[in-house]
Amino acid sequence: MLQIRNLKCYYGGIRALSGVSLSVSRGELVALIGANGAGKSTLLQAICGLSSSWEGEILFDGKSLAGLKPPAIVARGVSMVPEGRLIFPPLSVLDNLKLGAYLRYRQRDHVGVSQDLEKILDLFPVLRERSKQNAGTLSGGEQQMLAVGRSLMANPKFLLLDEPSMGLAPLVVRKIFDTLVQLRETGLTILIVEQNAQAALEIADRGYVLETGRMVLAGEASQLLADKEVKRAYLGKDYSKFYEGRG
Amino acid sequence: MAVAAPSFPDNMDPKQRAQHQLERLQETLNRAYRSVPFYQTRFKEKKIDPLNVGSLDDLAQLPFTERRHLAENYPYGLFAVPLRDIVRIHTAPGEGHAPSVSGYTTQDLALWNNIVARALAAAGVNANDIMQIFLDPGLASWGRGYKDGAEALEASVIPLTALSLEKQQMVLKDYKTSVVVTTPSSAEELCQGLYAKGINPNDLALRTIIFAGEPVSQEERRTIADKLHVDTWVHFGLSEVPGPAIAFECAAHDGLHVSEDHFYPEIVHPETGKPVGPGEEGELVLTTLTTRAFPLIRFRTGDRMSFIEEPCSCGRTLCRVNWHKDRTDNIVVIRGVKVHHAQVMTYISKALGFTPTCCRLLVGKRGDRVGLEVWLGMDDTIFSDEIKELERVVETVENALAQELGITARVRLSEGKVECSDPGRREVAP
Amino acid sequence: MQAEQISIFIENKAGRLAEVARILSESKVNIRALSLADTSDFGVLRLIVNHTSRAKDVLKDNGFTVRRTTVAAVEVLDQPGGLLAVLDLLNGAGINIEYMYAYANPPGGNAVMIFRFDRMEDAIELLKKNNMRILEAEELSGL
Repeated sequence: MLQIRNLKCYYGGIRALSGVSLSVSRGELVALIGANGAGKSTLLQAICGLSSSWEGEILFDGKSLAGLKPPAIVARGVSMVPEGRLIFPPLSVLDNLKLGAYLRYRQRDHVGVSQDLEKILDLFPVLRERSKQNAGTLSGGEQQMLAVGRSLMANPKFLLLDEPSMGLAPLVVRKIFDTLVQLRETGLTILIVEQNAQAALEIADRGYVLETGRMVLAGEASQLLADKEVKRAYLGKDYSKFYEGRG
Repeated sequence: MAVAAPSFPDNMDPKQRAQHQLERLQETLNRAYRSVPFYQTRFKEKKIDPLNVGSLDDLAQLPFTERRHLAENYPYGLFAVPLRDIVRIHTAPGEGHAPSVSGYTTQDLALWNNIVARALAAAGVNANDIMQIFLDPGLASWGRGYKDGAEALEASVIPLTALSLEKQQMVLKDYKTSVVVTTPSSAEELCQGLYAKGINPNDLALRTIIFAGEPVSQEERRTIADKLHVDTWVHFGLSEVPGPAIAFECAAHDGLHVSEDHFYPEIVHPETGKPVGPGEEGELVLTTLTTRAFPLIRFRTGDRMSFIEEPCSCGRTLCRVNWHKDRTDNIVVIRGVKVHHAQVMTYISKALGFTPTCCRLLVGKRGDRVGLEVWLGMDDTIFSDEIKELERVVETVENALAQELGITARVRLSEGKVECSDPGRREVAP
Repeated sequence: MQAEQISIFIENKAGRLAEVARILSESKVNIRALSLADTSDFGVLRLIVNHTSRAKDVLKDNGFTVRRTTVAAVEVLDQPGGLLAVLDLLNGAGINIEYMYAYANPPGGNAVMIFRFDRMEDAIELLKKNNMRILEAEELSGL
């Protein structure tokens, strides 16, 4: 579904991505992991058209996304849940959700939108409970759910998530990630960018490891979870421990 | 439990496979550049950033890795992971003063299981089979690879052991072996041995012979197949990244499929280093795509191959190669064991205490046994007018080579210069 | 006091000896004495010739490995026990013979044997002391 070849991105004159290739097949849940500053978000922004200064190839359903503005990319079926949720605090939960469907309203798909709204409120019952509240009054986890819900309102084929676990308690993270697994089972294709490698790889089919703008490893999620290099660098094991008694 | 990088389906759409190959190639280059000083230095010398490899074709910009580099970085210089992660270490005869040493992480071992199992499965090996591994001790690391791969298919394995030919024959008959993994030369010996003992092949359960280690001519194959009433299959491997079954035959028996999801193959002109035209013969160059401990970038195998352009009737889309008998380098393959000219010269110099002018390596026979034949060119340092002195030179060198290489060597003295293979191998700028 | 011999390495295959003889004949070198020691694979041809340097050069030019060695040419009485007398002497002094061969067509009726000893100097001294005649190099090659 998504094929990226040799993507180079510049971020304020600095090369943030140096020739990255990555692919996601239909129905897959793929995790992109890496440390802060590795270039993970830059990659998502390039896919979504939020960054125009990139070279290389990004193909979605076999067609290039080069030069397309974000709305055109959303229209192709790509939707992103941005880092830090970026919800609109003064608006109600319901209105926040509806905003995610603005393109569809323009296409007069009112019936489809209301159906999807119901589905999303089923998916996140807490959002239904609080549908009238201002989004700003929601907890962090609830805000994240709202952000996911809002992205789903665009009825995407492909969902991108940028650090969905950031700042959330482990229990909440699990809940949100469980939802992602549910969504994948409905046929949605998902690419998730995470510093929380453990959580992301536990739900993913495959994973990629990005290091200072370069891809250094990829494979089945189970393979990466068992990988010593990944464990040392991203799964919270103390590197020095591995060297005890080895001089 | 380690999980290996997966193989893609053998019949995957080549375009889709190419995307995966590119991803794996870039990851490999990035890891090699980051963690192996040898690669970093070489890339920098040529002012090449691995990041410039944006397509599979761009790989051709990178410098080759040669066998001598493995010896120069003896023992662990080319490892890309901390020793802590290494769980197995293999040694192969190298080129020059030091052997080549390769290491494996748990993932790498799991990977080899998959690669070998895939190749064995293509030869019809399954859980009902009893597989006997009959290789020279020099190929012990392959013996392990085949054992693990066959076990992954749940076949019963009789692993490589130092049994005499006679005992091997006994095992073959009594244990009802159905599959033998061996080299063409050893298969020939086994065959002669069985006939000499009057054992009728119909008394055996043997149905499959897998040839490893060296290419085999159609006639040799036919002879063995007819005499033993078996199907024969050819596998190609490397002793450096041990190594067996990197390329394997399918039921079509028309060339070898390369496990190109794990090894990216190129075929280059041996002198210029440039890619050969479609279907043309050249030297096989391999780049590992998934090995973790021991990445090899554009490794010159010295094996002469050509790509087969037509799709295979078996439905596999893994690219196919023809493996030709002659080599592009100064290596002689004796019973699957690679013997390099420079390395033999080193051993000879060490044994004699001086370096003779030249020597030539051939595959020879001592009785029925295939072995190395070394022709030493007579020169003023070797020469003595006393026969016993000359005989001592022969004996000294023969003993040293047998000890160092683990294969029988026969030393012959030749008048004057022998046609010397050039010890200083070509260095081709890519 | 020592004579000169050339030794040539040859492979044990048809025509090699003839090749050496041909090269020498073309250079007008005359072979005075000859011995061939061989194994199944190779042999060493030892020659006493009338022009040692020239013989060595032309053979080398033709790709042969050639060495000059000093040997002793000892006159042996042409009668029973003649050789034994020489051997007894050497044996008594603990001198070993590496190899020996007979000289073709010697002058003066007596036999001439070519010897290579492990201790050349000692052997020659010993033989002389015991009044054995040792032929000079010129004497040999000029014959």
